[in-house]
Amino acid sequence: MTSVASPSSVLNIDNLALHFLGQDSVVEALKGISLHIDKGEVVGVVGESGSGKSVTALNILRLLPRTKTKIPHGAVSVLGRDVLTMGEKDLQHVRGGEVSMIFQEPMTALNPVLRVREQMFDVIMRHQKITEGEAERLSLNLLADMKIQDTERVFNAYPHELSGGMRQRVMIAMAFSCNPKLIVADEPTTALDVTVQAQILNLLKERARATKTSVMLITHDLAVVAQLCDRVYVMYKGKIVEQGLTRDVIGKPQHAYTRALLNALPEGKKPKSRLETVAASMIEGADSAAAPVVVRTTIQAGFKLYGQGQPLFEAVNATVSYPKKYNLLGRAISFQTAVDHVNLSITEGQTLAIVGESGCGKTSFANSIVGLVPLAEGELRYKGKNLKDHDDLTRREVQIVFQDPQSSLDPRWPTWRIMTEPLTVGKSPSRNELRETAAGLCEMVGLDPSAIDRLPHEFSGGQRQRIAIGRALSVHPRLLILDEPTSALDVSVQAQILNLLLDLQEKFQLSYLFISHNVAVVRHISDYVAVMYMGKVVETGAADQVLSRPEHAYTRTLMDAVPTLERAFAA
Amino acid sequence: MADHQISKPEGPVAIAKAEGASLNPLDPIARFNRSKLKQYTNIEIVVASILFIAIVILAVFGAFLQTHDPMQGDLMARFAKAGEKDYLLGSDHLGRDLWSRAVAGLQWSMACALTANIINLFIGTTLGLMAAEKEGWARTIIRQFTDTLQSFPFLVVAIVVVVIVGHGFVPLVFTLGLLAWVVFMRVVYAEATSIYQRDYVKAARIAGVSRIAIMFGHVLPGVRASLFVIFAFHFAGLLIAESALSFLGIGAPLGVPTWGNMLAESRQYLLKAPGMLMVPAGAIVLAVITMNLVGDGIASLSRKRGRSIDV
Amino acid sequence: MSSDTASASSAANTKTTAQDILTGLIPLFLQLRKLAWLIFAVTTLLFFVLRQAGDPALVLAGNDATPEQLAAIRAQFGLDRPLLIQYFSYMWNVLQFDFGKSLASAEPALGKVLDMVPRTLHLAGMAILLTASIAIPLGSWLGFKPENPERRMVSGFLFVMQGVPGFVTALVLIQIFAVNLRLLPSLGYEWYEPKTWVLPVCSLASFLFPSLTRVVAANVAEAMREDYIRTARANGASQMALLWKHAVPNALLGAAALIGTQFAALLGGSAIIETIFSWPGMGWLLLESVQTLDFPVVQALAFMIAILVFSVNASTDLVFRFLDPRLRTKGA
Repeated sequence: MTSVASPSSVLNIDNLALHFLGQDSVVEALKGISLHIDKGEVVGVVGESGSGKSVTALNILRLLPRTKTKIPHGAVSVLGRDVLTMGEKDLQHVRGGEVSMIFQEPMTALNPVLRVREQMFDVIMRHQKITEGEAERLSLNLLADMKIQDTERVFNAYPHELSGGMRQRVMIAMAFSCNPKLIVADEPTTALDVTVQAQILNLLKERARATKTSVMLITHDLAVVAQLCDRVYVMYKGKIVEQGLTRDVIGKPQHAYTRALLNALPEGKKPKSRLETVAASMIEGADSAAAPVVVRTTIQAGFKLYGQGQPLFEAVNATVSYPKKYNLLGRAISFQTAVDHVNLSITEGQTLAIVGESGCGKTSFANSIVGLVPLAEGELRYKGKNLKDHDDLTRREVQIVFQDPQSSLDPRWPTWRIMTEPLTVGKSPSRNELRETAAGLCEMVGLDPSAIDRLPHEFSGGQRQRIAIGRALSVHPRLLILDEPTSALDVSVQAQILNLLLDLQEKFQLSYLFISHNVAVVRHISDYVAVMYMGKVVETGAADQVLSRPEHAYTRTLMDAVPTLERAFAA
Repeated sequence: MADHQISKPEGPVAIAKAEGASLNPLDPIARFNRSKLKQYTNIEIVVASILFIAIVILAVFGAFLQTHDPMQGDLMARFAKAGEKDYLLGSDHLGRDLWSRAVAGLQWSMACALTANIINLFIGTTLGLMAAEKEGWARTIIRQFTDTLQSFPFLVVAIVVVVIVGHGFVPLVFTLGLLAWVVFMRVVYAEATSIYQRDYVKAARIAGVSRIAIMFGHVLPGVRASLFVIFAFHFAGLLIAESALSFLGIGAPLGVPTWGNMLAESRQYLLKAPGMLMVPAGAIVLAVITMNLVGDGIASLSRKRGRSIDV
Repeated sequence: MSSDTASASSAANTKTTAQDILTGLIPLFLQLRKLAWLIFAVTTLLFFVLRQAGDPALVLAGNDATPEQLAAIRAQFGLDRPLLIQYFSYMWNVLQFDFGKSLASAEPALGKVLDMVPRTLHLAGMAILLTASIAIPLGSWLGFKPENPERRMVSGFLFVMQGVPGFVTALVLIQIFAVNLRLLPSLGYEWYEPKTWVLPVCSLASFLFPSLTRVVAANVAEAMREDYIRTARANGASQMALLWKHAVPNALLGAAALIGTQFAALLGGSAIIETIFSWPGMGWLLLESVQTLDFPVVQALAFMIAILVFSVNASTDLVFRFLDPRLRTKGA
């Protein structure tokens, strides 16, 4: 397979540079990239946020706002024709007809007031001169190709009546409908559950092969690329730093960034080892990834061991239910069980991970531990006693770190105030005391102490998570609940946060309840794993046991669906 | 080496330089462009500020800026045209100076609207916060009550209440103050409920922070920007409401000159003295536009800052 | 283990069954209950509060009545009974839709009010129609590309118009068209003479259309930023198709809410315009009866307005359900 651009390439980008024009600044989103895709190829473009991968994709169909972008130099040609100089009419012809796109968020990508049939007709009739009857037959066939069972119903449905995976299938059907030469898929499965993700990706690949359509797959997930793509381009900060056949790039990475990216992935590394991170100045500016060296002793002293033989935390028959239907008087008559008689225990100094897909109840369970939702049945025991029976001080030994670094910090508060808020309960420490403590906490989580006066928007996602962790640590917890703490972060940043969590655990013998849907991360960081499905724990045991030799059918499906790097070489 | 290509590995320094290299930090024009002044001003705010300051000056120092006694009419100088003798904007059917009456009206209307606005702010914000905090009887009752109040067109309720309570400054302020707070409540409720859902409020609750501390530390600062905006726009609405009621004869007492009164009086003399209509009409329009501009200005200000604060 | 197809087949059927209709009616029942409570509360409140404004016997008899005459009037109208008895007897009548007779003209109070209703509806309906027909196209055009200069000027003009209250516009229009140009009449109402409608309707519309336009523009601009616009554009849709087929239908949802609110506000809120143009409608009647302390009429008016506003809100709700498919299958 040649990897040199040829006139017969489906897509050819030549030394393209692209600038975003802000209010008083210019951002160089692309700094001269060149790539090409030939007929029938599945090519991956991999990068983290800010790498320019999405920009590249959107630009192929000129979907970026014209007034805000400038293209200093470069050429983009589709099937030999230059897209950058094309008129609007020709572009409309290309869009959907010769090149089609699949976007990331299936929930919002379809018009909520139009039925699926109208939206499919919209695309089909624009590019093909056929009657409505023929278009309908064509659509139903396409939907059937997408492995949809009840095609009639889906065809006549409104988008909100379909699940996320179903909507994505509809989008893919629309993408294939006019026999395009190239399909550009921008993170098509990132917003979907793991099992659904596997189905959709396989579907995409299979249809592309069957119709000999080229696919450009944009993703941040190297494992997905490993499984699906023939060739891959690695992007970093607007440049392509490495390219080649998938097995070459992943098996024998040459560029420092590619290597760092692969090293930062928890997959395939020794569990609980510290991951190598991309060099600090390569990513987040003054964010030191080095392990905390000097931490003020006053703060360290607050962490006291439990030290008994029994588990630190136990859930016995824990059940959480939400009302579903109400009768005429406003009383609830039927309930939805989110957490169904769950039994779990956590030993001091160890990590229990809860793995499951959306809706399995893991977040409801976490919320019930910290008191945000009440238990309908069962008990939560901490240090042997019911959590509710402890005094406030002891109850604070259970803290939580949330998933979204955007909404977990008050945008108007400076860092020192955020981190020390839990310390102001019941007491009024002086401002200086709080700032002292905050500085110590910053050191503990790997932030420069000068950060205490800065506002959240001045920090990156990874740094904000560090602040959130610092806030949780301020009251010297013994049990830390981490609800998808790294799911919103780039791979390299994720590696840093995982390292931090492991360091803290080792130093202070912290126990973690780690909730995640990312199996590789879970395998790396946990001692024990519980798999949740529909509110129940279907399997639990040592991490290695459950993840490598699953016994329950659901666990097995889950493990099969997870894309891994090894599978690149199995192909 | 054809197939597997790599770019020349660049050191971190080169990469960092390429990042922010587009603006030369020493270029003075670039520095001005980045300066706070440019960031915070636009044409709207400038115009709004000028008009607003003019209004404030008139409101506070009105007595010194009037040329005649607004209540005293010179029957020999009826229907004077603008600029005639020393009637800046002309005189009305009783020979009273329109300019002075307009200024007197401004003082009266502004005072009335301002007081009512403050009352509205307090009532609406308190109710909005109480309803937003959590599900429960407080929320249900407050929302029912607000819905009920809003079931009737404001003017209808105002008319009925004013007739009962009587004319005059205090009854009018009382009426407007107790009836017009719904917009504050709705806005505060909408924003506060969204803030209460955010993770940082959840974290504070879990940590045991008191309800009051959460309300004053997290929620109120979050709605503050919107409150300013609504306050400005609502001011205009209250001005209109007051002049409407005065126009109908059930607002300001008959002797006091307000723009509404002046409009009512002008109806009979439209042919003879269009100035009697234009002066109060123009005054109302200018005042309302000013307050709307101020509201818009504050809104765009907080949007600009908000882009960096509330991501 | 595909949660995907499983939830797909359990998603609601798009055809309505009898059960769906029944569940759809539940919110209507709840609304009616709210309405009943509202009417009860308002009539009770008015009953006790209106008495504070003045003694109805005095109004009827005139200010210079002798005490004997006052007593006679009180006996005649049952005003000498204990207040609570008066209240219960009154409420009993209300349940039979009997609000008593107007103190000013001895007609049945409710009848007097009902006479006014069609005229106000006429005025309000025309005003809303005019407003919507200007605001929706203008707002869509504005919201499509908010940044270019022409649109800024129009925005500025709208901004100024929003600052001009309806009654001010009315007076100015009268000045220009009735007094100076003598083109249109400045008062009177004849339902068959369009000339008499023009000025009142335009005055009302002039105050309403700026805010509606801005809301439509804002909604359209927001809809244009949504993901489904990007999808449609990526599939080759033209600018016009994007605007009219995709953005505007979504934007109309928010606009419909405002239209409903504005219409409801006009039912009685048009009192000033009605007074200026001597248009005999509900608002005009309200002013008259309130100033003459004609309590039965005021109460009948309150009752009528409550019902009308409720109907408008309920209809708006229905319209919403019709426009937004997301609301249809959920029922409540």
